[in-house]
Amino acid sequence: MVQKFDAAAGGIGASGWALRRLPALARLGGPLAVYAVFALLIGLPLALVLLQAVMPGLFAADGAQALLSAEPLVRTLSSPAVAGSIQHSLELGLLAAFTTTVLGGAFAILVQRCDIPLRGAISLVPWLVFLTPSYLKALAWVLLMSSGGYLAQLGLLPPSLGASFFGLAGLVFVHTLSLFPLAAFIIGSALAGLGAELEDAARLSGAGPLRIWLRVNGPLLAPAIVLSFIATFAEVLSDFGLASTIARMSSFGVLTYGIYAAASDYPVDFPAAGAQALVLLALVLLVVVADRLLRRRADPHLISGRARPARRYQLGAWRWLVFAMALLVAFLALILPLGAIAARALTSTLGHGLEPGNFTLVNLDAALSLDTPANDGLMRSLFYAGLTAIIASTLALLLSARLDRSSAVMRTAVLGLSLGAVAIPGIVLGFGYILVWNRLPGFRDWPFPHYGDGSLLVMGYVAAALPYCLVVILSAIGQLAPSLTDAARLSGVGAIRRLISVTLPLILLSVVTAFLLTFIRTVFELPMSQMLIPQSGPPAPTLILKLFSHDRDGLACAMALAAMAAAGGAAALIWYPLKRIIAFGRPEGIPAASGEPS
Amino acid sequence: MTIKATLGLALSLTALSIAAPACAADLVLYDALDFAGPVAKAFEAKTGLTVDVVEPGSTGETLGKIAAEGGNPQFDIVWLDGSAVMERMAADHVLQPVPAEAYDKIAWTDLGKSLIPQSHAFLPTGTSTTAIEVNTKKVKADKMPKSWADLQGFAGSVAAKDPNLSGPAYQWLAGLFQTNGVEAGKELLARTLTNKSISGLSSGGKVNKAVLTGDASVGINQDSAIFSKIAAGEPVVAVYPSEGSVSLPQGLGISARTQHMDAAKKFIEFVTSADGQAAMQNGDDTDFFYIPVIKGVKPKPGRETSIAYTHLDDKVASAHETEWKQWYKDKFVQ
Amino acid sequence: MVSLLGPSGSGKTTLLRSIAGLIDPDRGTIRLGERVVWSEKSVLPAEKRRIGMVFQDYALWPHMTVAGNLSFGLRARRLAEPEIAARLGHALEVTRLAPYRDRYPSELSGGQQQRVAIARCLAARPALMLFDEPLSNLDAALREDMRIEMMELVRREAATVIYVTHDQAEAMAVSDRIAVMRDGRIAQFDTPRAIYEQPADSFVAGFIGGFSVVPGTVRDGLFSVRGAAADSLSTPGARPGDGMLVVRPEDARPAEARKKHARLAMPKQIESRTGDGERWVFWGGQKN
Repeated sequence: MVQKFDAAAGGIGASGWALRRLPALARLGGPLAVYAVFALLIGLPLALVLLQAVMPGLFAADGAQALLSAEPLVRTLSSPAVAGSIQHSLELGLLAAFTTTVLGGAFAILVQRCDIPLRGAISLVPWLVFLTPSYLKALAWVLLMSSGGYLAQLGLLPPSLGASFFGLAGLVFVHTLSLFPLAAFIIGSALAGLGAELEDAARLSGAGPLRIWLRVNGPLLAPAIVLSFIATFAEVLSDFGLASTIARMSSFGVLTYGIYAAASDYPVDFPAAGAQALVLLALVLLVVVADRLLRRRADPHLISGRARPARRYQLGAWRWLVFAMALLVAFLALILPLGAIAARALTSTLGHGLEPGNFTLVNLDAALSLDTPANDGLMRSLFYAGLTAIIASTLALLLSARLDRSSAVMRTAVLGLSLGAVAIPGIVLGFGYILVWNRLPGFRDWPFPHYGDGSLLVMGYVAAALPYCLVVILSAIGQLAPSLTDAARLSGVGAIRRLISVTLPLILLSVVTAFLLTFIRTVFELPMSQMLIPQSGPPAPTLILKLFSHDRDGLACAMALAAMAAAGGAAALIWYPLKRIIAFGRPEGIPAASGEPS
Repeated sequence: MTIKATLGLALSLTALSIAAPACAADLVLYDALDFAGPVAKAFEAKTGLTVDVVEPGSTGETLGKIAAEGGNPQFDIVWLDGSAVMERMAADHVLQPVPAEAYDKIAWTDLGKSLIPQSHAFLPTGTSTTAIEVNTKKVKADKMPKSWADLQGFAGSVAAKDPNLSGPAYQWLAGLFQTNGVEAGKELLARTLTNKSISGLSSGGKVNKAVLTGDASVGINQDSAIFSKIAAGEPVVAVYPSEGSVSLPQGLGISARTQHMDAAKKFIEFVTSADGQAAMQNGDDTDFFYIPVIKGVKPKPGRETSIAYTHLDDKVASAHETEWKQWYKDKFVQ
Repeated sequence: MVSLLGPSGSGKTTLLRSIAGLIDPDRGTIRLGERVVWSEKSVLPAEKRRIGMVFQDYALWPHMTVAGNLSFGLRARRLAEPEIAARLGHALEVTRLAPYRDRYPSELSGGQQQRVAIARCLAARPALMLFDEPLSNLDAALREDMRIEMMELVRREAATVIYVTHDQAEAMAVSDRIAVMRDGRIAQFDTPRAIYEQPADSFVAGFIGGFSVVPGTVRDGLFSVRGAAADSLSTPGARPGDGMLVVRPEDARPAEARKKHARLAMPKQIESRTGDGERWVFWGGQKN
């Protein structure tokens, strides 16, 4: 039997010929869309911040003028306060990056390579810590460490330690406990990529475990260790959560809070905010460039693609010691701070501590009953976060799919751009949003989004979240064989259907991961919330911080607790059933995307 | 997929977020006062008009937000502690004078009358003053400070607010410079506020906390903050300085660019009515313990009202606002 | 059936993907029949070209069953359901996959997966089918069987196929014509037999393989091996100058057997050997 193939006349779909396009446009469509989104969400605000630093008169209330001047930079840099905060930021960044990398690396090695009990539960700890916002951890530690705080009440805290906590030492301590998951992820994934072969080869050559770690695994992990150091350093530099809590209470001035204070506290000094933002960005940029240079020298292929999991060390009785150490980290980083927040939420005054008569449900009641300011703030934040997560993950998916058709060079460029944007401190971006949407003609009078409106806050949230979403989704798409979508193209499947029917089901877990990460991060996002408070009412993070500074920490803790429960509950409710469904319906052989918690 | 499709989808998603906040309120209120929320709620219930209450944080942050908005202010009404800052904003044409008939409708007490500014920059809705907060467990009765000058004896153990963040604190600083002289006042503070970790606090709550936990034995605080703690049963007292107290009016001002003058007038009318004054006392936090300035309105129980006032020269205070705040910041903060 | 044959990096896959429309060439024209599908002025996107492709990794959609994989493209083209069912049935039947129609790709063996990939291509009834090294992921034992089955299927369905491979034996076995590629250019385009018997140059000869290529010089129709004391060979018609002598293995005989014709001596002492049972290749030193 001979089939009639469509090679005959008219076989090629005649309708297709109407769609002739210039190849250049077709090729550039994806990149252009991506650049446009990046320019509007990130590029323009950033540019204005930097311009403001060198053109102090740019947005002057009386007679704006675009004159170049080094005056703000000189004035800012020569001010002892700013010079002090630069020094503080650097000291804090370097110290915290060092301790964080040590703790995170040790945690990753112990948990991945040793046969400790309860591995599943312990490997969940970094994720939970990672998802808890830094200012909540900071506030929890304030409750614990302040004179009259919980630890002092329990007699566990010598006064001298309490006093030294409010300063560099305490900041390094809280940063380390709060950021160690980042180091653990980076070093852990490099460790997972090492595989057993190299170690086996070294063992066959007669090397003992110590020698293997010093001479084989150590050098191979070096790039990851350096990367972890750099990433934490950048993270500490751009942190606003601790800067606006512990650092502010200890009068330990850092750059991020300096920018906020110059842009938000009376007397407002935009040029000074711009100048400090310029310094901060320059430092972060330096770090990113150093990272690029180092990574170029490291051979990425050397430690990848090894599928065989490495052997775990049998520690015997020692494993209980390791287990105890892991538990201690979990206790300090997660259980104790959350416990402090919960305790404060459930008691009426801090002073009476954990006395039975001090327990009350008043705070929780105020946070949870409808039509209270606290509850309004919570609901607002959950709504904004949901909206942001939908927009950011959808936008990231669309942009990723467009990039999918572009060259590998373009994909790398956008991945680099996203990683760069991740490093931009939220506080700088937030300041840029004020400049663009409140000062720039055209944007100022634009009806939607409008300054002072919830829509602009959501837009800011999206800008802060989009790079993360792009990194997660792009890396998931990068793990899909391109032939899968090529095959669909050749079967005559259009782009949208290809995205929905082929790409999306295969990377669904990553898209949901991006969605949930964005949702949780946004519920607690601080710098944008602080800079772009909508007139309809403040979002939860602003409210929590304000309640804290007004000494109503009980209600603040109740709100934080409720927000964590809501965000965590919603995430678990989506994540676990979905994972089960996908694991059931998904045959083996689809590469799991990176960045999924498992 | 064309670029259009991508952007179209993105735009329509973004447009989703229009739905919620697009319905603008009848009145936008910027404030840093505890009772503003309840008062706005009561106003909404009574008039059916909607109010957006925006509270960026401290008085300083509220002023900062207004300054940041520059020529594009978003508020209709601002309600803050401190007459000097209101005078300064009126002088900068951020605020417009409150219409004269608004004052005339009200039965002012003598104290109230004395607070009405010539410029009509704001309408006083109540007042308070600054006092010395003393922890009675830490300081014996015979060692109580009696004046600002006595505070030198507690050097390093005096908690104070940063005037950059707090409206009341600036009013106090300007008042101190008026009663004690600028140079003498600066010297006095330099000798007294020697502990930077408690001399640049962000709010009255923080001063309370410092005094209650014993980090400081005395504090310079708004008296209503002290009374709210006394009402809660805390072991503190308020001591009024012998130099005389500077009154610290809560002022309502109207934005020079408001599009909602009628609603603003209605709001002023409501605040000065019996219902409005009741709403201003419907809570336990600092600002609810204000001193009424309208005849027939009683303060919250426990609130001291017989105070020897001196009148603050707002012109001088607002003229030096930026300079003195900066001086304080450089000396006692960070 | 045309094969694109060449070493890796020679441009086979680039050419194939350009034909499919998955990448854009820098310049030139691609015609399919009479139609221009790519030129610098107009582009027909891949999804409109009606070209089918069997990928090296099969590119089966892992979240769809066999039937889902086959019908997905048909549905996208809005074919009528009876038509889809008929095409599906036929494609499954000729590839003997009917019993597996509801299985997921991961539940199939490598050979079955490959058949699904071909069936998907057949069901779409494209004007042209492209095979990108479809056998390279199969183990040696299965490869031969699949090759025969695949050829039979393609011939029976009378499809036009472009087949990319770097395995010359595979190309020889399946093709009507072979294009030998080198550095992005077609070095020779001919029938397998012609390529074997008359390789266009030393590269083609070397790549087709199994030949011994001996450098030397031609003078007066005689080829003399460079640097060897062997006798000259009669090569009528060869141009004078430097040249290469290509010796097919089946034409090589031990020196004693064909003394009159060839004086290229076999090694006197065999040091190593390799072969597939039919033919053996010997290496040895010329011990004098």
